[in-house]
Amino acid sequence: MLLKKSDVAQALMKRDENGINELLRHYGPLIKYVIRPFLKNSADREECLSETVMLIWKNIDKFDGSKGSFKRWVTVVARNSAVSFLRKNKFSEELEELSEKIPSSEPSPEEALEIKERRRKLAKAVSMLSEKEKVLFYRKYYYFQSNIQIAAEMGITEKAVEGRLYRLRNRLRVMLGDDENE
Amino acid sequence: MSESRLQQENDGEFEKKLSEDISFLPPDDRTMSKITPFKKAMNMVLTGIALNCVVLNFLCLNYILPFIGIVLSVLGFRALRKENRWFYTCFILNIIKLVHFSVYIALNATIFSCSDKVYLISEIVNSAAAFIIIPHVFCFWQGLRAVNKKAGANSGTAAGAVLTLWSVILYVLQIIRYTGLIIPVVMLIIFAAVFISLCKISKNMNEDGFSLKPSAVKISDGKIISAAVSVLLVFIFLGYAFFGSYPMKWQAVNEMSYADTDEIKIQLIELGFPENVLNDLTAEEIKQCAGASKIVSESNDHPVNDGRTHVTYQANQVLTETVYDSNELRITSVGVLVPGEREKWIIFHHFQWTEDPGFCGTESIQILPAYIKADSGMISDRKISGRVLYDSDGKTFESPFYSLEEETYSYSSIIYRKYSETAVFGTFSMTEKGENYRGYVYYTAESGGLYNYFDSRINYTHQKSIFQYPVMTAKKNRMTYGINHSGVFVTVNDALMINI
Repeated sequence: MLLKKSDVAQALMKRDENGINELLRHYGPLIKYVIRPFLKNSADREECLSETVMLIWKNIDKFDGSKGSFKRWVTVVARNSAVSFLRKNKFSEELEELSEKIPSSEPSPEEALEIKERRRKLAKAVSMLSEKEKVLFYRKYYYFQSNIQIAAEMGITEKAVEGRLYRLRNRLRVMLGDDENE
Repeated sequence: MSESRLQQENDGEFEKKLSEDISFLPPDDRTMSKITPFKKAMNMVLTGIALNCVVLNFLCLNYILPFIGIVLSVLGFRALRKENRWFYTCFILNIIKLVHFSVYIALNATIFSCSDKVYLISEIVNSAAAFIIIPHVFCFWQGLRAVNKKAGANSGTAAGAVLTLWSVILYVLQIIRYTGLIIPVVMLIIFAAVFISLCKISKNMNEDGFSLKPSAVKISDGKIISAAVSVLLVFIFLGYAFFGSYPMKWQAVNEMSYADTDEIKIQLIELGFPENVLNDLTAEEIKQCAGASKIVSESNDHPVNDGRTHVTYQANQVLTETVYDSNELRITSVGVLVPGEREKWIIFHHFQWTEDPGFCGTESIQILPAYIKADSGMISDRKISGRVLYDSDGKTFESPFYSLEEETYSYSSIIYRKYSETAVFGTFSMTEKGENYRGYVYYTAESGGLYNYFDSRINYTHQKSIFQYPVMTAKKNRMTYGINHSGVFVTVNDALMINI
């Protein structure tokens, strides 16, 4: 049975298995779009897609409509699923290079405090960015999109992307008070 | 360690920290809605389609909007071209459209666009270019279907099929020059519905993350837009600067050939031939008037300026009238009765600028000779001749008219009724380096005995300003009876009536 996009979350919450098919139909391309920059191999992408769908099915009770749309929640799950997949499977040079940018999992208590403070500052800094800067920031550092992909989708040259990212990094350094650069 | 390597390492560490920390701060809905694969490209394509279908016939928007639309379509399909062969075809088709439309716009900045030959060729080319909309829309539809299929989705793209059919009907209506109102209104409604549907499809596909094969952008959109607009403006400027007037064949008048015409000249002056006109005729033309027995002439000074508004108050009424402080154009018409089997007249229509004419663009004289109407009762070999002259540094220069020929043409009245007329048109351009601009045409006509009078009319059209688009010549303006171009051209009417 075909469902409207807006009814998919409801179907999943009711544990309707048709909801999985409809989730794939409506949100499959979006999940693939999020996963693609993390995983170059198409077999890995298909596997990660399946894992993402299962994660959404298992954790649908954790979706809180007051914090954002279902679509947003799906992209967060997809992104985190890709990161986990990458961490689990970091065996190739290409993946290692990318995985260096992926967060490591277990900090010490002091590090945890430092990280918490840093994140608070980052949240504040990001809220002060313009909409265009936010889009560029998330494309690069959250969705791990390459400069080529960013350039193509934003209709600018790669050099322009590099320039904007350079200025963005410098601005964030100032806002975050990056001591290591002094 | 070098500074740049240190910077690179620091950048790497900084980026790693950013990526670590941002994992816990996903984007909000608003930011996420902007992170889409082809929103910008598809928006440009759809905007391009819309602007190409909107026709607003004022302030040159019927040129500006389609040009913007085609440029946007080129940019949009440039980003999408690697996705599938349909979008690539759309990209190529839009480049062809851009080249064609740019040439068309540039040509309209020259007087060539008014030439009959050029008009015929451009009509054929324009019809071929208009046909492009059909394969363009079809390929766009197929491209959307291919993206759909690749993503394993089956969201409907039927709107594309409807738009393809719509473009076929539109093309047919253009070819047959349909002038009704009902069908275009229906077509407009259908287009609006289809367009909205396409926008929704694109938005959904975009938001659903239908990703595309990215095409590397080597030249930014901004640079391409700047280049396209700059090239176009340069061509338009060149058009106005170098192709806004007729190329004339000016040469110094040979004074020596007038030696044996003095006696004839004296006779003509005694009969009443205006001396200023006589002085402009060639020796051969003067000789044709030998033995003249009667001369009828009329001279009028006409204003070519806009005048000024003069307000008077009379008996509680406010009267406004336009007053002309100068009458720059003198038109003198002369009829010379010469010996012949029947009553034979040589008719001269002479014009002379008594003041600086101002802008030197295109000029036109329209002659309605005595013989032009079938029931005029006048007989003529229909050969009409003349020349234009000016003075500079004490010398006189002459040139034949750029064209001087009889033409039959049709025009529409203000209520869109079509009329047909035959007249003789002389076209020329004055040069900016001279003074005392003048010229004349003449022809012969014999009375057939049907009527005891005849008239010969002259309408002189002067181009006052360069500011017109598309460029129209004075002749074209006269042929359309000035419906399209008020303000840039002014027409002065005069006539000679002769009782026989």
